[in-house]
Amino acid sequence: MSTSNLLHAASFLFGSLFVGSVFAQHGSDALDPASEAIVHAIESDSEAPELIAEEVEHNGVKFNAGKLIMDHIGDEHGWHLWGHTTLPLPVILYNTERGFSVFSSSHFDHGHKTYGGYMLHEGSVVAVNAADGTDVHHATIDEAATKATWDISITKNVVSLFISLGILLFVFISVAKAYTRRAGQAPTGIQNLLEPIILFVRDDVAKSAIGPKYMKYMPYLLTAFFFIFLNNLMGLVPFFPGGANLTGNIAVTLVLALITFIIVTVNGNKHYWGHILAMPGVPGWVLAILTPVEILGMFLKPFVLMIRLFANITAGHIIALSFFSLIFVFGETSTGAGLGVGVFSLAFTIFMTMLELLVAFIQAYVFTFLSAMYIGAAVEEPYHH
Amino acid sequence: MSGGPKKPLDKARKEYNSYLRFTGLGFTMVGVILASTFAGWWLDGLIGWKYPFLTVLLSLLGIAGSMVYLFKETGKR
Repeated sequence: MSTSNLLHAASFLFGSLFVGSVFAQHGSDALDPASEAIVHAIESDSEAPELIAEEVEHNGVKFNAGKLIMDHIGDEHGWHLWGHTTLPLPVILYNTERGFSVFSSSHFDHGHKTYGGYMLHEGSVVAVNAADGTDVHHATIDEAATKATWDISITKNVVSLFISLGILLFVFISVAKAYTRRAGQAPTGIQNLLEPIILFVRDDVAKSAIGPKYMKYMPYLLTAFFFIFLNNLMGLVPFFPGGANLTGNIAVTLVLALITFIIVTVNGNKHYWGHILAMPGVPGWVLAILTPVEILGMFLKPFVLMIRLFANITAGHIIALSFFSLIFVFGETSTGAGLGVGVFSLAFTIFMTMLELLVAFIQAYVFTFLSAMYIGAAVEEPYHH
Repeated sequence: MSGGPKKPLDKARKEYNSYLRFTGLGFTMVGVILASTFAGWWLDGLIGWKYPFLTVLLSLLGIAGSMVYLFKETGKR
């Protein structure tokens, strides 16, 4: 039916905005047997996906920019540090039949070997029925057991989350102590750096968007702001302990948006619900259209919060990595072209990183401000004319 | 619109902040149209009529709803 085709096309367009490179990658896989063999050669020969640039020199296999970018913005078991050095991280799995399995990600040997009845397949853990240390190409995926497996591993993003929490706790506990110890005196040290930002969140975000009841929501707004800001910045640091794409992970932004949604829904007063369910001063027939739209809007607002942060941060990472990949794409044609493009790529990457520093702040601000605005709409008292 | 004289900086800030309210408006409008169209398509599948009556009706209602929502949101204050 034509309408269902239209819907498929629309959803595909929407989806391709975010995972365009994945589709491009899969498209190239299905080209012809010859290029399929090349893709297979890359997958089986490379020690780690990040080392593709070296592979080009050593083995002469094709450089796959899409795979490189997707690997970098995604999560992984184990944290690639440099060259062939990877920081192994604990893999924690719960299977409804097999029970808990806890082991180091180094047992997977960068996704080449099976261990404990599991292996890595396209970055995620799948269940297999094979002895430990079997090559992944000789193991077949056990679909039923994979579905019964919950992966609660300490992945790269989780470690990054812990590091950022450690930094935030250390900084803010010491700043809070400084405020009680030196009450009424001029701020010192890191207090000096943070006080203007804290006041900015209080005056420009909380006070202006929520109104007189702002103090109750300051802890959440400050936490959200500094959490997003710090993790945006850490995502821009290309080496350990930065480099994880935490705020560009949709699960993380989902939880952040969910907290905002819960705060808004729990604190919503009569005035707020009245405006959603039956907007005052609106004729009945318009209400029949408007009420479903308002109810939908209630869920769409936090949904947009989630998408906005995720898309902006992920887009920034993809752009920087794309400029970087251009060097190797052109380097494949000739070394001179690679070097020539390298100069421009480097300049553009530096420019984009500068821009991303600004985006890191703006996105933290926008998320906090819009959260404050939704809270403000929920706790607002009606006007008295 | 009442209150004492305000510093121009405060006023500029307020105006700038009020624009931020509208950044999610487009998404919400698109979301409403997509959701209502999809609901119509799903209901049509359940009913099984030859002509996708509800898809057409609900998509048009979605557009109307997003328009009403736009007027209501921008008309506040």
